[in-house]
Amino acid sequence: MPRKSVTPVSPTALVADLNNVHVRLSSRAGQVHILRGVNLQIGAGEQIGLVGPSGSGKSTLMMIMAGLERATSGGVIMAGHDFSKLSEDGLADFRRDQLGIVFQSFHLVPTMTALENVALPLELAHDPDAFEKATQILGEVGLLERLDHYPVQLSGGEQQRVALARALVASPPILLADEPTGNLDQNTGHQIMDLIFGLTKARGTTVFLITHDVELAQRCQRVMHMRDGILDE
Amino acid sequence: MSSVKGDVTLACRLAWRELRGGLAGFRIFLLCLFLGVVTIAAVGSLSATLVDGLSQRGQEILGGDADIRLIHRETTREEKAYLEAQGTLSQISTMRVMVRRTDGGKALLAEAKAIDGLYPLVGQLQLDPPLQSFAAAQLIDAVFVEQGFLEQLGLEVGERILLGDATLTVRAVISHEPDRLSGGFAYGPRVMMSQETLRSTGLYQPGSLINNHYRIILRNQQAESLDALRANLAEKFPNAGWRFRDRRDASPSVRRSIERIGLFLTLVGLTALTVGGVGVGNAITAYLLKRRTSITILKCLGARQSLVGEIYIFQIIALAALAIFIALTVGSILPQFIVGYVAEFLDIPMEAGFDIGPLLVAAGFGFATAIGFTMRPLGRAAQTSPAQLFRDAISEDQVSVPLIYRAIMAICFLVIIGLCFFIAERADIAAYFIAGVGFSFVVLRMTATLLKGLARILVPYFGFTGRLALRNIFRPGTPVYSVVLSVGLSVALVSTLAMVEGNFASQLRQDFPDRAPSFFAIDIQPDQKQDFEDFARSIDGFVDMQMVPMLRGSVLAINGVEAEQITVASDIAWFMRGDRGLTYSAMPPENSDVTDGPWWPSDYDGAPLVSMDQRIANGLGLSLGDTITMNVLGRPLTGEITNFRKVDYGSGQINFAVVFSPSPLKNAPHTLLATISLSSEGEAKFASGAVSRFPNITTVRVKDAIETVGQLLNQFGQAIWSLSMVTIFASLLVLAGALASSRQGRIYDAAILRALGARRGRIMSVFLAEYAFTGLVAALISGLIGTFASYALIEGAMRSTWVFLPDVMALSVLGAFAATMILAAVSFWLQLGGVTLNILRRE
Repeated sequence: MPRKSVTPVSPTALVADLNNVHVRLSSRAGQVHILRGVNLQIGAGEQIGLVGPSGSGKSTLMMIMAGLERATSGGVIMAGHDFSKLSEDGLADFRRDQLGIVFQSFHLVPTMTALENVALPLELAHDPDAFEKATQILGEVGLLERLDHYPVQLSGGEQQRVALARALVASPPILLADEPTGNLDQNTGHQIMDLIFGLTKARGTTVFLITHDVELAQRCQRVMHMRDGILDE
Repeated sequence: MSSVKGDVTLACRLAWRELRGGLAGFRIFLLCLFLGVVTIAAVGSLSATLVDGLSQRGQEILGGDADIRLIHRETTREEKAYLEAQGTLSQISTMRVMVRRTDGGKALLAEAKAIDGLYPLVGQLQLDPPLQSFAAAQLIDAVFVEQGFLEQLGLEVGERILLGDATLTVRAVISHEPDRLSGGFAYGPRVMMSQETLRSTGLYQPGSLINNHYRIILRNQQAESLDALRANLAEKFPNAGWRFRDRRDASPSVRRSIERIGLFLTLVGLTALTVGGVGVGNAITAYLLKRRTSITILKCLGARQSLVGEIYIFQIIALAALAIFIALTVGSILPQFIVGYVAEFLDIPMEAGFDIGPLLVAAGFGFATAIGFTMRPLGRAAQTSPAQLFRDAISEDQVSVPLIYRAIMAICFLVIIGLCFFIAERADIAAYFIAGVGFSFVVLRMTATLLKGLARILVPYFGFTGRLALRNIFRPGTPVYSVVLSVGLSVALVSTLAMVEGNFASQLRQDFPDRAPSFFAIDIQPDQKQDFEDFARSIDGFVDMQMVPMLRGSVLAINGVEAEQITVASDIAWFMRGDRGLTYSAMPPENSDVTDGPWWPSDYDGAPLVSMDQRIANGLGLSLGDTITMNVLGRPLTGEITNFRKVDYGSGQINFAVVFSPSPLKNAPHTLLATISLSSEGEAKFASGAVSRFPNITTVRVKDAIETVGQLLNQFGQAIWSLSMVTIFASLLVLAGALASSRQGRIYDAAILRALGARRGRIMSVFLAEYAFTGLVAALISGLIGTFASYALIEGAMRSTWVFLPDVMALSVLGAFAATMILAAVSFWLQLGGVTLNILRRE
């Protein structure tokens, strides 16, 4: 029996609603103000590209949206879920049910096969058809012959396709992609981005993409810029 | 509920996926756990097998269903008639005697045993050459002896010996004496004869220290009949003063020895397991560090913290179960090979058996250790922030351990403590052990923390090599805690054992002989007193002599309360158990101080008064004016306690826990006990002269007795040291694990240094300097711990005098330090051999 998802606090057409979000982190060198009053509203099905120099706060913003870090102040409502009212387990449930994440370094579980990696989000949701669905989406990304291969046996591009399949297998409303082509060559990177846009468009998935590549960002419907913790459109 | 069940199933499934890649990363985890559990299981199984064997062979060991013993006297007619009515009755008499060659040569202290025509009631007495019959005629003037008897006197079968006033012939060698073990520890070889022969020697005199055993094979073999017999004897003959023993506990002294040795060896095994626990914790820490990426991925994908914890706790339990299962299998098989040797040593047939109890205890220790020592690293790993994946660098920041993990850790340690008390015969032994280990852990952790601080302070004062070495000690991810704990615990154990053994050896071979007399003489008849004293004083080299009356009695009651109903502390239980030597005196004994209450006048002739050992009185909660009733020569004797004495049993002089006023014991049949101090030259003359002039007097040369005790202690010590090697091996494993866990960082450091032009020897010197500093501090601190622990054991638990042995401590500390350095040097040399700049290219 698949686990029930977390009930949203306020159902809304916005999948992301960030208001005056500040993030301050303490370190040995003192306090660092990473996000300075970020306001961001994203509608369902939108494709957002975020560009900015290193250290501008792009990854921190993505972590706030994923519930991996908590804002120091400000409101964060994602897919109708007010993060200030969710516990750590609540945030974990949110990620399981509402979010897919693709990393620059793929981050596949090394001790699991491609099929097992992709099925993982569905297994966490106790979906009885986890492996059937995983097989299907691996076919969509062209890796039916790689089901039983471990990550170490796959090329970089193949690993990223597995990661993409894992991010989308549960049909989440939101996909976060942090430099998904950063560790790939140009051709492979283009293939991956074609897959990302193709699969998400078919599913109506909202995409939030961090990239250094301006050309890649411009494939999105909206492009935002981040500098010194301030977000501009 | 279905959600919980689903989580557990999922956790098991994900745990299996992690493990199916192989167990290569768990070698140290498995070995550390295996070593400790197999030791505990093997020792526990062997002890249980031996004790069970004693129990199953009880009737044969005891020589009957019950053994009723009287000292100094035989049964009255009424007593004998009652015993004969219960079943088949056989009488055996035992005493210590001096046997000598007929040519006036060597004399020997032997254990004499006089048998009747029914002996043995159970089992077979095997002689070489075998006797055709045990008819009385065959036994006149005949003795059967152990092979050791012939060897020590240089005799053969058929030759004659002098025993008391009689000249007897050695007819055969005893190959197997079925009830040998029931007599407990023997001071000399066996010499067996008929009851009539013993009486012909003139040694059987009123007041002699002779034990008369009445063995019965009951008509009713039910166990309840044994209890009924004991109760009936106590009711019908309340003042008989006999000791009752039945087949269910045929040799309590041997059983207690086995149990006590087993306990000590188990505690040594437990120390190995505790050290192994550190290795287990390190191995899991290293494993979880490698798994941090997987853990953070799972959390990013939506796995709850509890699920992450379950995945890894199931792995830990599965691996622990594997190690423990193998350990229990080996631990239950090993005793099968050893029990044969022990059975041969004890001269009783014994079959290897299987007892689940010790294995369950070992498994309990194993699981509690595995889970307890892994909760901290697991709790930290479960707290890993999934945000670290975005930073693409896994931080090793220390996070707090959640409360649930701390609680499980506490429960596991409580289980370990509880099991310690469960297996220990005495609660104070368990408490000492737990306190010692706990204290060691705390002190060693503090040492590691202080070491880091000290290293930080010392950095500016050293050159390049020293600075790098010191920085390694307090760098993030330093293995200093593991190194200090593993080195420290094993050095603490080694130095404790070395100091305890050194103290015993020192007391036995130096201190005690300096204070102890040259000879003890027992069974001196009152009419021999003057002659014996004159003889001793006539020997060249005579120094001193002390002679006191001696009787034996057992405690019947304290303040009118029967002895069986009194609960006493375990350290003075010996006083209430069985019979005690006691004496009477008009004056305070020379070797003890009266601490409370007045001594009776020297011409006192009134109702019996008693002087008691202060420590025993405190243990029994006695006050001046209380009464003690003892059974002496079959009669109850009640005395009022009028003073307490401080008694030093380690002085080597004559000491008694109970001293009566002279009346009425001075009129009872009894013998005298003497100590004689002589120079070394006088000892031989005294020994040969005493035996020939006073054949009924048994003389025990103290040096021989010390030698015998010393040999036993050596054997005991060898067993302890053998098992302590397990602990040392476990600590080396832990150390190896700690070195391995820091391997990657060291190889990286070495690659950078090599790229910058450093030679291999210089790099080695940095690493060796780091371990020299850490190892030396750890060894010194734990040497102090061991010294303190030995002090607590000797002065506290054993109530003896502790002596600091600096050479012993230095040897154990330096030995451990050397072992650490050798291991570190070999490990580093092997690691540095493979370092190339390829490592830098991958960055």
